[in-house]
Amino acid sequence: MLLTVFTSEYLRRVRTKAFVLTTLLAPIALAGVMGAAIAAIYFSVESESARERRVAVLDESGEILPVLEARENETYRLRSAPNSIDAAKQAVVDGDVDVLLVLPRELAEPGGPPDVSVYVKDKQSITAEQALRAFLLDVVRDVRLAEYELPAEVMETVNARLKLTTVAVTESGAEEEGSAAGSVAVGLGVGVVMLMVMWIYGALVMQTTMEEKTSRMAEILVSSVRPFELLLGKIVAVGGMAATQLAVWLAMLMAFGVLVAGVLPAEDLVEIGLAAPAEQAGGPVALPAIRFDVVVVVLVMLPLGYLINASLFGALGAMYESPQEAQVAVTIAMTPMIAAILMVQTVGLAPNSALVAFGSYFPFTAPIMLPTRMLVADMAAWQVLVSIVLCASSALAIVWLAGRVFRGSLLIYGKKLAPKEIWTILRAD
Amino acid sequence: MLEVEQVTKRYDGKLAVDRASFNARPGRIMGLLGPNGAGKTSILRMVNDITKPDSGAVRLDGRTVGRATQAAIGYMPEERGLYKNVKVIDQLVYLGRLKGLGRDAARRSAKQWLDALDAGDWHDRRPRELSRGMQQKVQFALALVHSPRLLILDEPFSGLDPINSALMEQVIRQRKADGAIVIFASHRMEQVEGLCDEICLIANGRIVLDGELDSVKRRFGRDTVSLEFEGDGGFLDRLADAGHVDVLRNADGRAELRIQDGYSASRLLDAARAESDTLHQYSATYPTLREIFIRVVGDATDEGR
Repeated sequence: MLLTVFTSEYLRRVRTKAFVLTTLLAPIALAGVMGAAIAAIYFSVESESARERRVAVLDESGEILPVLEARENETYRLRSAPNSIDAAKQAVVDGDVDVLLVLPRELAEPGGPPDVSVYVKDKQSITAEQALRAFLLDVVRDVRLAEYELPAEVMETVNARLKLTTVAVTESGAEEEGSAAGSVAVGLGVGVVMLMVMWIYGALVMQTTMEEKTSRMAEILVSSVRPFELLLGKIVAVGGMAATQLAVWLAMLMAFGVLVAGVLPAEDLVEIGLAAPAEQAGGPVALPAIRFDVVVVVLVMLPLGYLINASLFGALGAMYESPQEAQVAVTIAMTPMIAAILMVQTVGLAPNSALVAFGSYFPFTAPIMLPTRMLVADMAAWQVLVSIVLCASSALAIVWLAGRVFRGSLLIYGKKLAPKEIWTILRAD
Repeated sequence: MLEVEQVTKRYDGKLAVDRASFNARPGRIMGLLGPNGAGKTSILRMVNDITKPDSGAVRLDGRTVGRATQAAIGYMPEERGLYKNVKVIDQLVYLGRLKGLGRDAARRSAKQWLDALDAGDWHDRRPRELSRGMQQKVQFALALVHSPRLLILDEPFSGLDPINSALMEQVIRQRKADGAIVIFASHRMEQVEGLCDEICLIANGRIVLDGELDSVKRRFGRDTVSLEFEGDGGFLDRLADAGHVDVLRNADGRAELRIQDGYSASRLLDAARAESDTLHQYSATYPTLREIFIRVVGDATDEGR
């Protein structure tokens, strides 16, 4: 019976043109949008960094400009500004120069106030501002230190650049490269994908239930099959559809990866940002290596999280006759998962705080939080297991409760179900 | 045989069905009659095991209704339901499968019933493309697809034209001849009268009258008189004013009367002969089901107040 509901629902969904089209076209559309976004950023950064910026410098001490000019740089074309500040500003307004730097006399003195005024016509981009700041900082420091006539070795020491490599040491003794920030970024990405899967496909369960309720097909169906089997069959069918769709997308992604890797030489991949250059693998925040235990946990928690949410959505579909009516209840039902996404970001700050620990055990947030916490903190196997068992048993309980609400409310029309009535339905035999 | 025994059902503390009992037998059509809200649908849902009675029992062929009996029941609810965007044949096969048929058997049977209902061309159509009457026939096929032992039809003719009504009636009679138990719920008496072998009248959740249609009618006696005459018919009003008869209908020289206690059919005949110009027809008959319904349910409603 359950199998019949599952097969029929699954085939009915998978055989539609809409399903085939979204499955095939969604990644292409998504790739298009992302590609366009990446290209837009790439080209705007490119054009901005490629363009020479004309910088007029009003150097009151007269000590800094020569050093600035002596520094090699491709970005700034420096010149001395007129001595009158008003004339200098006018040059910016007229567009004769892009930036006016006003360097007060005290700037060159050790311990002097660090104030520099920068005049531009339009506000600068953050990257341009940071680049300028870094450029200036080096020069000002060198000028100030010059007063002390330090030996070259000391200067070298002062100017040394640091490279941080974070290595987490685990109880098992294994060492892992990667920073908390990278782990959280990965966890957040995985969490958002999980949330979307649970939300989109859960909402589909609600929609199909609502459809049966409003088309009055429900009464015929429950005269032939247990409501619980109907709900579960539906949830599993939509889940199967989700799995089909995700598998197709994953296959397409992998095929695309193979294709790109085969066609383009590695240097080009680095250049367009699809691969990290060999010497700085991991990029600015080092991404953690793929951990198979976390992958397994995601593969277990995603279906459990889906089961919990789809059950809630199924029950809501039986209770309400239109998505508008269900909106408030849907928001309440989704709140824990959204809270989980927000909490994921705190995992990096305090992976063993009470809040994070609670979030990684609480069944409504665990599917999203557990994988991230595993990446950041060193969780013992039993802790992970407890979280999974809690989530699985809650999922079963919620499916069962949702089944009762589903059965009790599916054939009630034109009536708002207050919490008291839901309670009555839950207790009814 | 379907046995409904002392069944009671409450919703939110309101009594929907109150100790209802009746039987429906194979090869017979039973009419479940009552005004809207009388409790018909509540009873039918319990027979279908969609809801459980608070007390009492429902049995089909000796077994308490449940999962096993659901497969033996075909149900056409009053509120029609079809998937709007799913092909007719797929809906029928799905329901046939839920009722326990194999895939091929379900498909074969679905085609067969569509053909029997003159709807053989609609396999691949979707309900949203069909007229209301056509959807109604698909709905009927949905109840028949597994050739159920117990066929339950709630207001089956509503919205159907006479030709399709006749076709559906023919199929119902065929099911009866094949030995199925047929329950037919309605508040439209004239349809029940022509089709049912037995009736069960419900009002306010209680069964107020049941039995074989003929014997129920006989219980009310030949106290209904129909007349066809020429003349103004003013004498009928005088008789009514005197409390001798109840005028049920009186128009264009045709009248239907109910004789009150203390008056007789022969005295009415005498009066009619004397007072009308010509008396074309006079017959004393059993009351129509509609009349019985109004009398009984009217009483029951009064009692309820």
